[in-house]
Amino acid sequence: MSHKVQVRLFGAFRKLGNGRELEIAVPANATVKDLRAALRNVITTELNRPAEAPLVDESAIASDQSILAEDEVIPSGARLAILPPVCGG
Amino acid sequence: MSSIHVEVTDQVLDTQALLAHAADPSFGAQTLFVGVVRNLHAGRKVLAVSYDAFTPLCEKVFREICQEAEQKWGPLSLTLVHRTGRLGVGEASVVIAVGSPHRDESYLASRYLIEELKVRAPIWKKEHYEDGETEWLRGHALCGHADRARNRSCGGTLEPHGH
Repeated sequence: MSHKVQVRLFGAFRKLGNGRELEIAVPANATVKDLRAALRNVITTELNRPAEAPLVDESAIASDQSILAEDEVIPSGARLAILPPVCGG
Repeated sequence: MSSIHVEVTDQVLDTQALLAHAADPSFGAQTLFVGVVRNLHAGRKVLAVSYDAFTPLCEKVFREICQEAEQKWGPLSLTLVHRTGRLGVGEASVVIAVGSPHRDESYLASRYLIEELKVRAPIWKKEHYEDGETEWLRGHALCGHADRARNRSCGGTLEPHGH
């Protein structure tokens, strides 16, 4: 049984979709690592932006409170964010 | 005596008001750092910079950085505020104000806050050039940093630290 994860977009990812978030389908008990693969797939095939896909592997996946580890299981209905390499200040 | 004030805002930064946080009768030093948009980057003329931030996590990271500075050099008053949205040349993007009993800690803490912000805070810059082009700038990967802290590998690459 799959579920949908909302991934808020930041930095260069705002060039994709509506520029605010993507809804990504993942299997039940999917980990952050699985979400990365699903994101790369959506960016490459559904959004037809293969040039942006490698940035997924340079980016962190986070909740409002913390960056998630690769082996963390994503809860159903999670609202996450994808954070490319940062350059504030 | 110690206080921490952090914020991510889309409003114009009032540097004097933020510096006022650094005042305390027991503090002999106040430092103010202001990061300002400049008109040139990598040889290209910049008209404006748009800042994007993941606000809830960013404010949490700001608070953690300030708490670390407090542990190292406290007592301190620490103010760290970053602005988002489109900023023109000359506008302030970040203000750091530090109050401390003596000047040494003030300089050290101020430097610490900006250097840590640059590699840890979820903030991104898009430059707007004179020729009409825009570009999201490359930066410091967060996942490598986070997983180093947890002693786990994530496979992400780290950008060299240089501005």
